This record gives sequence, C-alpha cells and structure tokens, in this order.
Amino acid sequence: MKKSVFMVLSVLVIAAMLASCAPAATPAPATQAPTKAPEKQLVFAAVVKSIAFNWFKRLEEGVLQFGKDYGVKAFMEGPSQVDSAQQVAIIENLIAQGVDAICNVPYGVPENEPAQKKAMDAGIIVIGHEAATAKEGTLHYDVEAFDNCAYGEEMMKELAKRTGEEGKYIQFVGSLTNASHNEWQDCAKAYAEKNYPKMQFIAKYESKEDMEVAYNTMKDVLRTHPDIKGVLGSAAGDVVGAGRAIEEAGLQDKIAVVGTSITSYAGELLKTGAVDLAMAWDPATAGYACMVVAYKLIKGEKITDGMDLGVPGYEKIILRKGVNGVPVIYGSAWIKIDASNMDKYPF
Amino acid sequence: MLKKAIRTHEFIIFLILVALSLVVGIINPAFFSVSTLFDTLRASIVYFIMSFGVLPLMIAGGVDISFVAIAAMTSYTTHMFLLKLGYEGGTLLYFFIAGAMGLLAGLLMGFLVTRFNLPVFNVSLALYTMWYGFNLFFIGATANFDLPQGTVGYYARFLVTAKDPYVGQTGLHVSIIYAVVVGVFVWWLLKYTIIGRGLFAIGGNKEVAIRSGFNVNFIWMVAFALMGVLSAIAGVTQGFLSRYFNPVLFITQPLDVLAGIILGGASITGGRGTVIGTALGVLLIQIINRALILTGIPVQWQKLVVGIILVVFTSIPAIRAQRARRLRRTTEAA
Amino acid sequence: MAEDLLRAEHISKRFGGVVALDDVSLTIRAGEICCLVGENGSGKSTMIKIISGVYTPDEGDIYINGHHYKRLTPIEAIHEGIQVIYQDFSLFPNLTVAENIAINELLASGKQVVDWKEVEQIAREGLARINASLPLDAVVETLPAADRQLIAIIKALLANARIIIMDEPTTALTQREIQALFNVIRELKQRGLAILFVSHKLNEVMEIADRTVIFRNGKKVLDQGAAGLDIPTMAYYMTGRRLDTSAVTFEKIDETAPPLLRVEGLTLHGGFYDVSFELKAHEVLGVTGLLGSGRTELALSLFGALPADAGRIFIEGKEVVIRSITDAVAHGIGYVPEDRIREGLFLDQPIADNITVTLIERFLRRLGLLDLRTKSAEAERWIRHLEVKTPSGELPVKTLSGGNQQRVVLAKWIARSPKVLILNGPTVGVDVGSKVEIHELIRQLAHQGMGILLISDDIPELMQTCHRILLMRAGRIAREFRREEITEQALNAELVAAATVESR
Repeated sequence: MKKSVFMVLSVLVIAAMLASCAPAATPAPATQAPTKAPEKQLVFAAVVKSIAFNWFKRLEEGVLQFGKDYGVKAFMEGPSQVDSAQQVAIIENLIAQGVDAICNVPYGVPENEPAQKKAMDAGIIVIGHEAATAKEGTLHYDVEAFDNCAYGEEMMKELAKRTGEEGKYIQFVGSLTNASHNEWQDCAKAYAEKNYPKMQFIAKYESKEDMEVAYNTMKDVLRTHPDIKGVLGSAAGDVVGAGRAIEEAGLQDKIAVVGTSITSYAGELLKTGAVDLAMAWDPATAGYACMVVAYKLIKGEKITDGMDLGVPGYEKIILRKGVNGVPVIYGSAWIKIDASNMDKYPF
Repeated sequence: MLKKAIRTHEFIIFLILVALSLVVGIINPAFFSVSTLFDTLRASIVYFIMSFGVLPLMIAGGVDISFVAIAAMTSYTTHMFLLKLGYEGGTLLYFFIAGAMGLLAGLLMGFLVTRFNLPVFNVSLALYTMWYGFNLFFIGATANFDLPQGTVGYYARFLVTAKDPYVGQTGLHVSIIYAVVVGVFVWWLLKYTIIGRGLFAIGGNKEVAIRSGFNVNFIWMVAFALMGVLSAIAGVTQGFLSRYFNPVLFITQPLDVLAGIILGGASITGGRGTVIGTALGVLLIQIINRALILTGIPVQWQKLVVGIILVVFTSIPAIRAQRARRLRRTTEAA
Repeated sequence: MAEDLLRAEHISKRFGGVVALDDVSLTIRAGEICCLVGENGSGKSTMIKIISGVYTPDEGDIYINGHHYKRLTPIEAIHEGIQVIYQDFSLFPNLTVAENIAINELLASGKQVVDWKEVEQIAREGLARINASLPLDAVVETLPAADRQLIAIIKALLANARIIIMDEPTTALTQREIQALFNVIRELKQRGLAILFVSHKLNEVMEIADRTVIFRNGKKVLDQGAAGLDIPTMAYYMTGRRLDTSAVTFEKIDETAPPLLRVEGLTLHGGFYDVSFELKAHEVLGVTGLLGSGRTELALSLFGALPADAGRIFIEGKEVVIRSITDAVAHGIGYVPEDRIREGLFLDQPIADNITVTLIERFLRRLGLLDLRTKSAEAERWIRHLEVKTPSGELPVKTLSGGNQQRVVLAKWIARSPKVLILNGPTVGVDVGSKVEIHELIRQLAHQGMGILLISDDIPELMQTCHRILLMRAGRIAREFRREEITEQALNAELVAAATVESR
C-alpha cells in the first residue's frame, strides 16, 4: 500500500517537476496540413491520468494545437485526481459519445485495457501514451517520446563529447528502484563501455530525488576522486546538486555535467557552466504526435518504421513490438538545453 | 558511574561511530578533515531537528511517518504564500509562519488520535498522504527556486569556515544552532518535566499512567504539537540550505529518519529513547552514507549495511527481554 | 478490640442476572491481617472493587473511618487510605525504582518540573518505611516479581494507606520471596495498618491470617479468628465439599517390571548435569527443587524443547533420540506446561478443537478431509471424562475457569494416550477444589498405566500424588525420597536447606 503511494507520488512528482507553469514554445505546426475539410468534422479526445498536473496541461496545449492545425475537434479530459476507475468511466462516456479517436494516458495500464478494447470494438481508434506495456489488442499503437535506452545513450554521447571521450564519470539516479532512471543510466554505461574505452565508470549514486543529497554526495565524490571528469544526472535536481558542489570547488570548467533537467532548475548553473547540458522532453509534442498517429490511421495511412510524423522529434520514428504485444512508436523527442538556447525553454 | 555509562546503548553507538570513522579515514584520509566534519553536520541538521521532534512521540509509543509531509507542506506553503506577497525579507518570518502551521498540523493529528482513540501510525499514514496531496493539488506541483532577497545568501552563512583542497570553502552552518537549541530543549523536556516523564510513563504502561493521574491526552497533544513545529522548522531550514522549496520534500525519507531514532536506542513500542542516542543514530546513518562513497563501496550496499546494523541493534533488547521473560516464567511456576 | 477501619454492611451486587455478592458484610480492623478466601467466582474480586470504589454496590452501606458512604468513588477511597495492590503491581516497567516510587507524590504536588534530588529523597524514605533496600536507579522491568511487589507496597504506604488490599500477592513469588513478603506484611500490621490478604492458597492463609473470611457463590460462609481453623475446614467452607486427602490410595507398582522411561547421565549445560532416574508404569515420580535448580529445564529437555547436550534416554528399554518436540511426541511423551494459558491453549478457539488438536491426523479421511463427527464425539468424551464444566464444547476455552482450563490442557495430551506424561506445576493458580480433582485425575492416569513425571514445589501436592520424589539442587539430583520415608515437614525442611546452600 505504502509502496504504491510512494510510486504514484514519485511518478507525479517527476512529471510535475519537468512540467512548466509558464507557457512554452508550442510544437511547430505540421508540415502537411489536411488537403480539404472532411464533410463531417472528426472528434479526437485525449484522456490523461489527471488534469490536475501541469504536465498534462502542457500536453493539452499540443492536443489543442493539433486540432487547430488539422481542423479536428480535439480536446482533453481526465479525472481531477489520479484514479483508474474514473478514467475508465471517462472512456466509456467517450465511447457513448461516438468520438473518432482516443489518445489515452492510462494511470494503471492493465486497469484501462478492457475499456480501451471496448472502444476499439466500437470502431474507435485508440492510441496509448506511456503505455508501452499494454496487452496486444488493447491499443492500435502506443506512442513514446523516446526509447529509454536511446535517451541514455544520447546523454552519454553528450557527456563524452565534453570530456574528450575519456576520464572518470559517475551517475545519479533518483532511486535505485526508479525503472526509467536506471534504464537510462545502465544503457549510458553500456554505450560508454562499447564506444569510449577510455571512460571509466566509478559508481551510480542515489539522490533520493533530493538535490541536497546530490550536493552532499558530489562533495564526497570530489574528495574521493579529485580527478573526476563527468557527471550524469537522472532526476531534475541531480545535476543541480552536483553542479553546486562543483561550482563551490571551482571546477566548473574541469567537470562536465549532463543530465535530465529543465531551465527552472538548472538555469543559473547552465549560465555559469557548472551544468553543461540539461536534457528533457516536452509533453505537448507527445500529445500532438499521439493525435497525428490517430489521424493517419483514420485516413487509412499505414504507420511504418522510420516514417516522419511531421512532429519535431518524431521525424524518423522507430516502430517496435512492446513487451506485451502492442506496437510501440518511439520518437527521439528529447530536447537539449544549454546556456545558448535556454531562453527558448523557459520552463 | 563510568562503568554504567559504558554499558549504555549510547556508548555502543558512539563506539561504532568512532570505529567506522577510523576505518573510513584509513581507506580515504580525506575523511579526516574539518571540512568533512562540517559537511556531515550540515547534512545532519535537518534530520537532527526532525528526529528530535519525533522522538518524544515515539517514547510515548506513537510511530509517526507524517512528519516529513508536515515539513514539506508547511515549508512549501509558507514559501509560495510569501512569494505571492512579494516578500523580500529574511528567514525569521518563514520560521514563524511555517512553525504556526506545523503547530496546527500537529494539534490536528493529536486531536484525531486522542478524540477518536485511533492508532498513531494509521493516522500518520493518512496524513502523510494528505499533506503531500495538499501541496500538489492546492499549492503547486513544481519545485520553486525564487528565494526572497533577504534569504539568498543564507545557505552559505557559516559560524566557522574551513578550506578544503578538493571541495573549496565550506563551513559550520549557522543553523546547527537550531539543532543544538532544539536538542537541549527536548532533552530538558524529557528529563525534567512532568510532561516528559509522562511520555515515558505512557510508553511504559498507558493504563497505569492514566490510573496514576497523568493527563494523558494533554501529554499526547504536547508531543504532537512539538512534532509539528519541529518538522516545520526542519522543512524551512532544508529549503534555505538547498536553495529551493520542494512540494515533495523528504517524501522518500521518513523511514531513514525513523531508522536513525531506533538505532539511537528508542523503541517502536515506546518507553525508551534519548536525545543523545537519537543524535548519534542520525549521525551514524549520515556517516554510513558518506562512508560508502568515500570508500568506493557500491551504493547498493548502503541499505544492506543500515539494515544489518538495525537488525543487530533491535534484536539486542529483544533478546534481553526474552531472557527476562523466560526467567519470569520460571519464577511464576515456582 | 482493634478499631474498625472499614465496615461494609449488607452489600449486594448483581451483574445482569448474575448475583456476584448477596448480602455480604465485611469488617477490616487496624493492626489485623484479614484473609479473604474463596474459589474463582466466589465474589472476592467484586468485594475488592466495591471497597476501593471501582464498583457501586446495588445495596448496602460502607463505613470508613466513621464516614458513611452509599456510593464510594475511587478518589474517596484513596483519600480514606485504601490502597489496592493488583497482581500487575501497576508499575512502569521502563522507569527506575526511584521514579516508580515517587511518581504519585510528584503528580500530587502539582509541580511541572521534576527535581531528581527530591525523587531520590522520596524513594529513600519509602524504602526506609519497610526497611527494604533496592537499587534506586535500577529499571523496574529488570527486577524480580518480589521486588516489584515491594515497590507497589511502598507506593501504597507513601499514599498514606491505612488499609492495604493485596490481590493474590504470592502468585508470582517463590517460596522464599513469599516468606519475605509475609515479614513485610507482619511489620505493617505492627504499625497498625490493616491488611486484606486475598488468596486461595490455604497454606499461606494458615500462616498469615489473624482472621479468615471465606466467600462462596457470592455469600459469606465463614468469618472467624484464625486460631482453631485448619486447612480441611477452610477447604470445606470454600468448596462446600469434604475434601478427603488423608485416605489416598496409591497405585501399586510392579517393582520387577522394566522401566517405562530411563534416563542416564542427561546433561544440558547451564540447566542440569548428569541426571539419571527411572520411571515405571503406574508410577508418579515427583521432581522438586527451587527456582534455578534445573527442574523445568529437565522437563523441557525430555519433551525436546531444550534438547540435552549429553546423556541417553530409553523408552521401554529402547534408546531414543529426542531432538525436538516432534520426536518426543512420536515416542509417546506428553507435556503439560507450567503456564497453561500461554503455552498450552488456543484461548479463542473452541474447547473441543483444543482437545483434539494434537490428534488431528486421527480424524483425517480420504482427500485430507476431516471427519468432524468422530472428532466432536472424541472431544465430548474427554469433556465428560475429565468433567470440564461447560455447557458446550463449542465455547472458546477462555470462558472456562482456571481449573477447567487446566483440565482441557490435560485432556489435550491424555487424548493422545502418551506413555509418559510430564506435568509441570499442574495446579499453579488453581483453586483448592480443582486442585484436589486434578490430583485425583493424576492418580487415575497412573492407574491406567501411564508413567507420570510431576514437576512441582507444592509439598502437599507431591506427598499426595507421588511414589518417589527427586530433589534437585543446582542442576543435580541431590536426594531421592520414597513417600513413605518422609513427612511433609521433613521434605519442606530439605527444600529450604537446599535454598540456603544455593543462595542466589
């Protein structure tokens, strides 16, 4: 019981931490607008875990933008609190209304499967997001911003670029039990072992999602390994805590810091160079991409590996079968924030 | 007198602390530096304050995990409120507002426990979720970095500074004073007041405490109020030290804090515990955290090490109790 | 004639339809030890609660120190100097001796800050009142029951008690501790306090009482000076039956028969050393000794709970290895524990299930199903056979009285028909009526051919049931007596002598 509370809260927190309250750049308009308005206007609905979070407010912006660009009536719904039962009720309601497509971000993946299947049986296109583990036949497609492993490798490439592909590096994860964080970092490490033989892995540390912990840990790392060259962060505060310790030691030019974060967290340190690169992703483009996939299916187009969805980060999608059989579309929709472009991502 | 002190739980913890420090220092001489000491103390300050708040409750037999949520709720709400008002002053107002909120939160919990006679742990589990939920739904879900002008430099306000060849300048942070003052106050309360002795009495035998004429509900309320206020102080202190206010501050850490208190000799069933022991327990966990980094032992080991020490320490009193029980049983048969 | 401190007159109390006390009067006088005796459910506890203000009587009057009360509150009772020492002593196990003694006075003073010098001062005064010496800074839970009781008495004295009521005060005490307690009680009496000593242990009552009051079924059946009262008379008033203990017939033992159980050189380090004895069929062998003499460890060893380190055990001439309780049960050894409630019974489960739990495999039918009808018939048979007083075998065991609970434990083991039955203190905490019946039952079992090892320090009990008695001292068998060779007094003297040698 408690564990699940922890999990839910930490999932929400990561989401919330990465989300913005300020308006951010909306995704670029689609390259190909629909040729002519259909006789009957299409109705697309996005259903999310809860509308109470900024993360999903941001996702809604993408959904609305899609509606404008494609002339589709697109909107977002969701429970006021995270609750699978309420979410299922909303989907049932949408089936009754006869919408043309649903993009669902399920809170509990298995709990939502029967409702999704029911919608498919009713002739509705159902696309999932953050549901790569769904069972075959309960979604037409699932859309993910990126493959966790590819994201980790990208992080590693950026770090290696800055350390001259050599030297000691450490990793931070929010917790050793956070699946995404650990997948990023494990893939990053594997990539380094294969491609950068001169880089030396020291350790993976837990920041407990607390930048003060990252800060204290980094200080001890500096004492133990004064010749450290690189730091990879996972939780949004990791690079900030590490960056502060590095800055206080006056080593901002000697140590490269790369990791998941956003401007509101790492902005100051990006400016001073204590943090070199923050990587993140934008829920708005995910929402947009989700809608585009549904649109293409309604128009009878086929989704193929390597195709261009016309959404930034989804220009060359990877199509793969998920662990439980649902076809999953991966973008490469990460954004990279550094001192030069941080004004473009003011969240 | 000395002999007796040597047999206390506190002394054993102290020995472990010294032994561990020696081992770490031999492996990595960087550990033996004033700056490491200052950094360790700085990292411990908020845990000292929080565990001093939870200790009296635990002595009375109440196990709480909502204190971390109170720390998060009071500090984050206070910060967002003052931010809206455009407050640019110092830290003191934060402590007052958050402290008052912590007091109310503690009294609310005390009311639920005493009025409806609910188990403390159950109530705390509910409130733990509720206070974090309160932050996320009503106040905001994002961490905030905009500190008032008057508080910006607070994180680096040191009583004494030390230069370290590896990490630059560091120092003994002023907020250690809060931890010391709070520690002395709680120590005095536990040892020299009827309320404090009442906490021990309730933890030892609640029925007899009532029969003896302790005002049990009042004593409970004091313990909850203290827990609320100290959690709030810890939350605000952490906000200033880490230079941001976090709606889910400490969310993964209640058990680490409780582990420190239990290592320090307090019993989850109540009746025992000291301020000194608690402080040493908190320090021990901090040192273990650092030891693994400084000696290069994989971090996965950290939980295992803390776990093993906890198992050993919690079973010592249990084994003693068992022996006493067996003795008593034989006595009764005679 | 001493002054009447308390008179409770024509007290009646009903709980629902049950009459707990029926027109009972009780007088307590200064400088007198009054023993209140009765079986469980006779109304003793109700009376204590009425004169300490916990219950309000339905009818009757209470006069204390000349004040008349129709209804008495606990606070009034305390103000009138009435202090009850319950069996749990009402102490804080985690606090020191000094603080436990001083805490009431601290609370009464209304001060909010504790002066530890004052605490020590109060504690010293308290200890001085009964000339006791206890380590002031010892934590109470580490002390033996006797010391905890002293603290409870001191607390009562410090509360200016004039009447001290002791509810079964000797339950948790050893023989020597009981003597020490009696000395304290006599001392208090000398100082003019009134003692109400509530007990069902008649030998203790014999020893300490100035006046004996006996309740039976909510009525007072006897109230007279101790002089001239003997145990059989008291037992008669308590139970309403003549309990004849003089004319016990003992089972004849075939001396030539091979022993049922033979133990050679059995040793458990820290428990007992080099213990050898034989037990024949039909024989009841007593094992006695003081606390720490190793008697309980020996019993647990034979039952496999504390396997012995060295030595050999033979059952019916065959050597057996007993490393666990399962081994012991397989070899036909049964054990009835000293603390029947904690070790022997599932209190919330029905009586019938408790009896049949050790032979559950007997009722297994195909597919692992239980034959419930045979099972309940078997349970009924035992309930009748051992005369367990209950309207139904389906009631939980906790509804039974102590004596009847002990019968259920016995039934549970006897139902397996063990060859050797070990009984550890079978009548501890059992009232005199049930005690006699349990003794009769033991003799009956021996008659049926069982060999019985009876661990006890109740001398009359040993004398009335055992053929031979082994006296253990410091883990070794010090002496062996045949019942015919020794008197109760001589055995008692031996036991006490053992105590002086051992001196803990």
